Amino acid sequence: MGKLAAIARTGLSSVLLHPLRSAATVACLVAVLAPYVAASGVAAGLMDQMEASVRGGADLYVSGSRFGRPAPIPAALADAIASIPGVTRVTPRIVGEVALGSAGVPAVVVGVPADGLSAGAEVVEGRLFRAPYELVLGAELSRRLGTGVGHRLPPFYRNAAGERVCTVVGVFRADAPLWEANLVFTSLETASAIFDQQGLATNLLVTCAPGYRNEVHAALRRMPELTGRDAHGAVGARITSRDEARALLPGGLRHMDGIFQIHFVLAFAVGIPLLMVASGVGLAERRREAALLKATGWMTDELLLRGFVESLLLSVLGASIAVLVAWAWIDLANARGIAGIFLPGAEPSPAFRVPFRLVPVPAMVGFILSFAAVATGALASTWRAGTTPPALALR
Amino acid sequence: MNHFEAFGVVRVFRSGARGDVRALDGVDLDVPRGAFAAITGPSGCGKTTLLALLGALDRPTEGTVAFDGRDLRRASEGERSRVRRRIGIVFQQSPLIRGLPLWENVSYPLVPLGRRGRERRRAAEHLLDRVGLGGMADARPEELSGGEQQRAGLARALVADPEAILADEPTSNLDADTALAVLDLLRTLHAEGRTVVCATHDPALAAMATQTCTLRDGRVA
Repeated sequence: MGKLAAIARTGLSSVLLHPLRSAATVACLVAVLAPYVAASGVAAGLMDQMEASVRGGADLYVSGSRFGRPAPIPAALADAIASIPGVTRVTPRIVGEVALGSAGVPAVVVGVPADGLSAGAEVVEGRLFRAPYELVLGAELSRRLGTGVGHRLPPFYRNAAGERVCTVVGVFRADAPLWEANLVFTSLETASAIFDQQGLATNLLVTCAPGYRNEVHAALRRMPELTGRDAHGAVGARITSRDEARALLPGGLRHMDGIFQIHFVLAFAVGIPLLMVASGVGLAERRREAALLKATGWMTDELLLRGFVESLLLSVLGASIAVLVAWAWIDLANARGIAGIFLPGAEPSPAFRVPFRLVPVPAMVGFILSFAAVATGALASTWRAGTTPPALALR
Repeated sequence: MNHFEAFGVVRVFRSGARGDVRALDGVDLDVPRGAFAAITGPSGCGKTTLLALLGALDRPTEGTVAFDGRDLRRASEGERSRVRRRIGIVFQQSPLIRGLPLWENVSYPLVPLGRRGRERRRAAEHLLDRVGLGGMADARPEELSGGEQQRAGLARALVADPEAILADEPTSNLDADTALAVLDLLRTLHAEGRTVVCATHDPALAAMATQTCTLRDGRVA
């Protein structure tokens, strides 16, 4: 044990003896790991917020269904659904995409009754919409458009009813930064006019009395209005519970996360040779040292243990610095440059607070991969030097 | 019993520009336990190569090299390392690890033996004192002259209390006084019962030897 500890200590000496080699290896590790840990932290933070949004949302979401896909549903069905025992509230909602301003900034218009605004959003400037064609903008979207309360937005839609100028009457802040970056709240009627879908809603948000959700769910499935026909043929209904929504909502984020992971793997594939080169920097020096130690009685496995400890220390140091850099990147620099990957439409330097939660698993996985790469570079060169006769290596 | 044996040793180095170089060509040498052997001859005659083969630092192309009756050519890498622990080797250009304090350089052979740091430092300081480098335990190799590095290399060769010393031109980089001190030290080590084999041009060192082997063009002259 004393022997192993003594050899391990020479691994630490080796880290300190070769500051350039050690610094180059750690720098490579940080360059590869920090973006990965930061992105994982943002993804986890957004996931938390989305789950919180779903938890605070409706119990059931009812939409139409055509060709097996979600389709608009008559808003008038809200009254019929409201009469089901156990239903406490039904809110029709319209959700649709528009492009605003001369730059065509993508935004999502949400049309709801004035009292149906989510508890997660708070008007911080101006007021809520009252009259037709009044809009309440997310703070980040408002900033990007360069508009504020009292400003008028030039027509951004055109349909059979013509086009209208809309007025910004309020700016809201939300728990979820995505909302601030993208959402425009307006009345159900205004949204209907914008999208020219009179009498239709994207979905109906059904809130149930405690313990009634399953019964209401079953009753909705039996409702003839939801399984009938209209002028275009059969109309189906898609009923999504809160749990199902929880599983579905982060799907997009997980998709983004997955894409990022693939990018990370590719970056790592490029980084591995870099790390191996970095950890093998000063190869001649390493070869000479190994030969010298072998000449004085060290065995190859003892040299490898020394290289292993050196790699482990460098990896721990690199991973720790990477976590700190990732934390500083998100917390102090507000995920500058990385937020846009997970928050579509967000600027490189978002004005809102980007949520994050540093998660141990990606950091651990990244550390293990990094250690494998560093150790491979260091041990391969040590092995080659260790298996060369010392006299030849010292020539 | 012979401590070192070489029989029909051939060592060929492959060199792209010069073709194959036959550094040793059928060398025989027996060094009994406790002997003081000097290997002499002109530069390039194969002295360093023979010393490296005797010290298990290299393998012969042909022939047999044995230490204490063990055939080093057929020995595994682990066995050869164990043999090297029993031999103290002094290199001509004494290579030390740059940046590492002298006491650590000298005591590195004790690390795989599991000796504690304080014990290693004590052993290194004692030997540095013995080779005239007392008080320089914390100096770095790059702060030392060539002669001081040579003496530090001698201290490193002795730190694991080897039963044999192989020294390649141990006095070549030293001034007259220091060379005399090193000769005295080698004489003492021999008197303590250690086998000493030196490759040398130094007539004073060769005169101390109990046996001499002269090489010329890779053969025993």
